[in-house]
Amino acid sequence: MNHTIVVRGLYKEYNSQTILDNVNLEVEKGETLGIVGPNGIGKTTLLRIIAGIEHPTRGEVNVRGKVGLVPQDDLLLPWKTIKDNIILGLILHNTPRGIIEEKLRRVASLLELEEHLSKYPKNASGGTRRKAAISRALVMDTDILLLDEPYAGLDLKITQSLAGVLNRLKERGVTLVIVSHKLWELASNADRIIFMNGPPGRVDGEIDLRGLSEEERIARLLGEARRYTSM
Amino acid sequence: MGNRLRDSLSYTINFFLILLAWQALSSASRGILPGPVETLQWMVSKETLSSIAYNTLITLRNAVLGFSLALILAISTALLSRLNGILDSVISSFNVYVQSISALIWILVFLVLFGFKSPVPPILVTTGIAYPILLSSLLGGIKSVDHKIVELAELFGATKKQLFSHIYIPASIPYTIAGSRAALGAALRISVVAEAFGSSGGIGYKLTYYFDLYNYKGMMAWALLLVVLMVLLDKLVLEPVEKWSERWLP
Repeated sequence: MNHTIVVRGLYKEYNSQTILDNVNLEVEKGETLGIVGPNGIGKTTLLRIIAGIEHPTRGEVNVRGKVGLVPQDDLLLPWKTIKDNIILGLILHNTPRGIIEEKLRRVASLLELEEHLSKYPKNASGGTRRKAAISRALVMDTDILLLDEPYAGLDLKITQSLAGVLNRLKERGVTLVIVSHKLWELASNADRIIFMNGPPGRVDGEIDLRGLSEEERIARLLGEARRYTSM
Repeated sequence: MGNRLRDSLSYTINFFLILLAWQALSSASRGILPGPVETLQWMVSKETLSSIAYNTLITLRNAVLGFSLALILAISTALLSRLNGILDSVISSFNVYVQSISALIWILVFLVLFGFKSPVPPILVTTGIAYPILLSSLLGGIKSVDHKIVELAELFGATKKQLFSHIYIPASIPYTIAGSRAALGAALRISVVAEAFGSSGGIGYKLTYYFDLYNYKGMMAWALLLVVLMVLLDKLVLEPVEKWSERWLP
């Protein structure tokens, strides 16, 4: 298997309280993995550990490729325009201006952000801010994108638009790991969904949606939704 | 009624209320304290435009130089506080000590050090008063930065220097400007007091000069000039700059 993320026997403790308990998962290159579970179960901690922001108490995390993180609250800098937020990482890497402009143009076009580049975050819609946060990670030529609750707080129209963006990234071979507490938010993107339960957070089941027709996919998700809500 | 109109009306009403209170005090003192009309008449007939400009500029120079020095020191200290937790704690408690030093102590210490006719004491006294105000604002601004933003920048490979220039300094600008409004106001008020103690020019010097001569019209004229100067500076410079900086807030 061509795994780009491998997590083995992962434990995380804060102040002698176990947050993650023996989490194991693998993500293939180009795959879209959904992670579903209730609030406070450690999904964000798991993403932060994969991103390298936090370290596990025990266990092993191997990541092959460049990781980009899209945090739940976007974390755009309010004093920078959408454009300057997107290119923040490139500026920090002292990337030449010409390359910055080229990468910005490509990503802004992919995420349909061209007309919003000069806005400040507080004057932009929630969808634009979320797309800007995704662009900020993508512009760094990331192979793996970790998205923490990407649909949270967005209305249906923007959710659909964002789902379209994530599908386009998937078509381009970007590996996506999407965390959500709502199973249906992952319906249009995920190849595979793992369920987390607890506390402490542990993997508690998995469904594989690859190779299924649209009807089979919906039937499978409906069945899982019943099990998931009765857990 | 628009906000701007209501604001202007409030300032006008307050201006006339102050004049009325001043007139009432003057009447109650049986003319010892001159009223607003007499004061203005004295100003127009006795004080030359060049004297007003010269002394106002001296006060402004003292306040601006003292404030600028305080700003440079406050920015340097605030950035130093981010280097590690111990420095942060030391600088926070250091600021409590500096805040506790009254303007009078600063004035006397700098007069002892530099002498009565030196232009330095009014400048350094304003630095001593403006510095803790600015440092508190800056520390508040820097501490307001969401640690997750810092983590994200570190994930992008930001160095310590880049964290300062791209995150901490811009994040603290609105707080610094808000603090500057208070600090510059305090700097002007304190600069005048320092000039009164030992200086050969400035609004504070003129105030005490006329007081010593028992010329209360002259004293009140310069007091009025100081109040007008501070209100104009606040309304025309500091408030618009503070409003502009608010767009940087989340």
